[in-house]
Amino acid sequence: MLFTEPLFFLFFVVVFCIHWWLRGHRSRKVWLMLASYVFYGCWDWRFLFLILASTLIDHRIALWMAPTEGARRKRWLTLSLCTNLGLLGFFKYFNFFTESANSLLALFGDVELRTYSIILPVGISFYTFQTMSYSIDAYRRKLEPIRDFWDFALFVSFFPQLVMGPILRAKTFLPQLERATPFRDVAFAPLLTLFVIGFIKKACISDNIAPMVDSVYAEPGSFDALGIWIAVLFYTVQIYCDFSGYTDMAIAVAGMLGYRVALNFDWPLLTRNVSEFYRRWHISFSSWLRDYLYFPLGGSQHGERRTARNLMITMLLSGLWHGAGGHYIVWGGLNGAALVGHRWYRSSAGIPAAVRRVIATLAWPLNVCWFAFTLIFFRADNIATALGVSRAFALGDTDGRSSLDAELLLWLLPLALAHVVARRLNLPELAGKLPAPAFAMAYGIVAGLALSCVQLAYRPFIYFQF
Amino acid sequence: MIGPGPLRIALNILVCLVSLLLVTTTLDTRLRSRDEMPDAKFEVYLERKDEIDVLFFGSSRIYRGIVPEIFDGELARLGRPLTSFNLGQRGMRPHETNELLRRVFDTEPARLRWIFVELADWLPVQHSPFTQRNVGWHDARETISALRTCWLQDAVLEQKLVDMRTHVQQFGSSLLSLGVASEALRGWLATDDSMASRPGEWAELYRLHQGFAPFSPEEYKSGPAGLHRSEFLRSGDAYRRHVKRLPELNAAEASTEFYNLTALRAQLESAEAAGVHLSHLIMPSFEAVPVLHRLAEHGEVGHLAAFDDPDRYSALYSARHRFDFRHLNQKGAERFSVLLARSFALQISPAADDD
Repeated sequence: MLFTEPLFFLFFVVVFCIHWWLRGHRSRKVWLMLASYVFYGCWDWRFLFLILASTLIDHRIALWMAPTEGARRKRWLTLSLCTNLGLLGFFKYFNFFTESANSLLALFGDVELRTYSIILPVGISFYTFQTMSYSIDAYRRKLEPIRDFWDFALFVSFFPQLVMGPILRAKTFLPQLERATPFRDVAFAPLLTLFVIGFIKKACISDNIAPMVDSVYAEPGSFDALGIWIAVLFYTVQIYCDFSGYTDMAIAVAGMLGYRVALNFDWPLLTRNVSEFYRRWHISFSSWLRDYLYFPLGGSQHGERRTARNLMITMLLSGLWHGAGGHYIVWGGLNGAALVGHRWYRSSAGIPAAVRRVIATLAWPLNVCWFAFTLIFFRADNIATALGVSRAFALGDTDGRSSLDAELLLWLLPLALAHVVARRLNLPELAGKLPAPAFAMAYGIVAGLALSCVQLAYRPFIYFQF
Repeated sequence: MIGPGPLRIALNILVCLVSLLLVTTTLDTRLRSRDEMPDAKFEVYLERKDEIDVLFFGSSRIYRGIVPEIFDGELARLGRPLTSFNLGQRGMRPHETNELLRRVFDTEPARLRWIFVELADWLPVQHSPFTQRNVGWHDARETISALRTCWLQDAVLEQKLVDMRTHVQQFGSSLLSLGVASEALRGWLATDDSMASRPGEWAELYRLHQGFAPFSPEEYKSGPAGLHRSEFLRSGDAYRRHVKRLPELNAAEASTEFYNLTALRAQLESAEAAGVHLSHLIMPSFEAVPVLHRLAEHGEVGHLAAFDDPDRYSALYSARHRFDFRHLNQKGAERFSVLLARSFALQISPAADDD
């Protein structure tokens, strides 16, 4: 059930109406939890047991951990982390590591470990990180473990963000479950606007770009440098619109049910360096990595060399989190290297002022092009394809003869302009100021235009695979 | 803060829905395009609609199997000079045919008197249901009819419901004009240079052959058509054995309870209301269709021209007249067009002319 599918609209209308019709806060929460399980069960009902098991285990462990101290406390945390990482490891990485081990074992003889046909449960990477953060925060005594199982189950399974984030933090979400938000306090116009913005990004922009990008990545060797350039640049737009579009819709849907979900994208494509970019791209994940991996490794507190190591470890694991494939690890490594390089550039005194001025002038396009380049390793199916595409992108080195129309590049101008204007205008806020009938009419017109621009065959969101 | 009352909320929702429908309807009339091939064919039909006496409707068997210029030539030779046009379209099933029939009747063609419609199972074959073409024929009437077809089909309940849900979604997509603008942009963003993205060339071909298009040399070698052809060429004796058994298979008992008779009757009635004689046609195909023959025996079909008897029409089943199991090649199509014209000349008695 995708946010852009008619079935979801039907589902949401039912959930919304019953949610606000119910009087008691508790009954609303139980209703939302049930709805979330139905939503998740629509993908594959068998995985309901998995999410339920994960919820039960982390809920109990946090409660058992609460009165303990020292090594015993640490054991509970270890158990929670092992369970979560074990689930993630089995479903997501088992075959990857087995195949990697097989390649290694092949050097020593005819030994082969067995691989299995494992279906990746939708959203597992997101909700396991969510429950892990809960256990770690409970361990660090940053939050009081929650006694009410239903509240915790809702935190883990809350359907607007269940399958693709943003990754919720218990300390910001659980307090919202204690107090009911009255219907009259929900600002519907900005939320509806945010939803339609997300819908346009995903269904009208990303989905229309996808076939063109797919055709190039299906046979990159047959395209010339121009075709590769166009596909690589448009993939940047595609993934941004796909992922941030989903997030916008998730925030809007949660908001209409009376819950706040933190911002996940803060105009990252308008940033001027990689450090700033990663502070604004997939914020819930970047901040998770910062708080639960980078800082525990020592962060930037122990000199440049240790900081560089920490950044590289964090970004390599970030790559691995995205998928079980060498190309994702390379992608993470490239980002880590860029972050290290940027730190060096910032602190280096030996760079002439003129060079700094040139770099400052070109900072934005350079940053976007670098991100587009790294995404080659994200989009390609394997390292060999990624290397071929990156060679064509960076050096123009390709024998391909097919091409794409250069005029396609002109589409990037209105898209970039719309992006800048949308940031300045803050459309959801602006919509909130309109009189209700004017808003209703404008909304109908925009929705009608948006519907005419969708692709008829629904495409899953890119991040579903993670 | 006091929120608006329920009445005001309802009114605002209504305003929103009305403006949405206004926009989608406007865009639909301006931008609706179903598919380059059928659109191009319909355009050519519109150019000639007042010169046409006979129209052919159906799937690629019709589209590849009837050569109007040969058909017209044979009729002229038999002293019945008429002009025909082939409106058959790749993969067109009866529900889509019905919607196309209504579109044709709406154009009020001045001389149209006879139509041939391929008699087939009503269950729409939907390999990719969400294309503008497959969505496009889902008006309210045809959707209800398609839902009935799905419900009647000989399948488990789950399958029936899945099929019905698809049609409801297609109807919704059609009602809201989903994707009409992106479809208009698709040609511009297309990376392929296939003929499917060059409607102008199709139109030229249809002008030249009155809606008929033979299999191209590329289709003989590659693509799905090429695959079917090589499968056919490999089949050898198996094909001949099956063809031999065809009369026996077609004569077998078959229940008509799974067939959407309501839709069939509605098709006949709509033609009658438009003042046109509708003849159903069974093409010389490889598949046995006993249900369709039983329908004719039960008097459910007005006039049936059945050519799927290999004993009687052996030439049409010989390998040199066929492209693959289902389709005739150009030679076969020419031969078939002559046979059809002769049968038609017998059918159009002076009494029918006077109607």
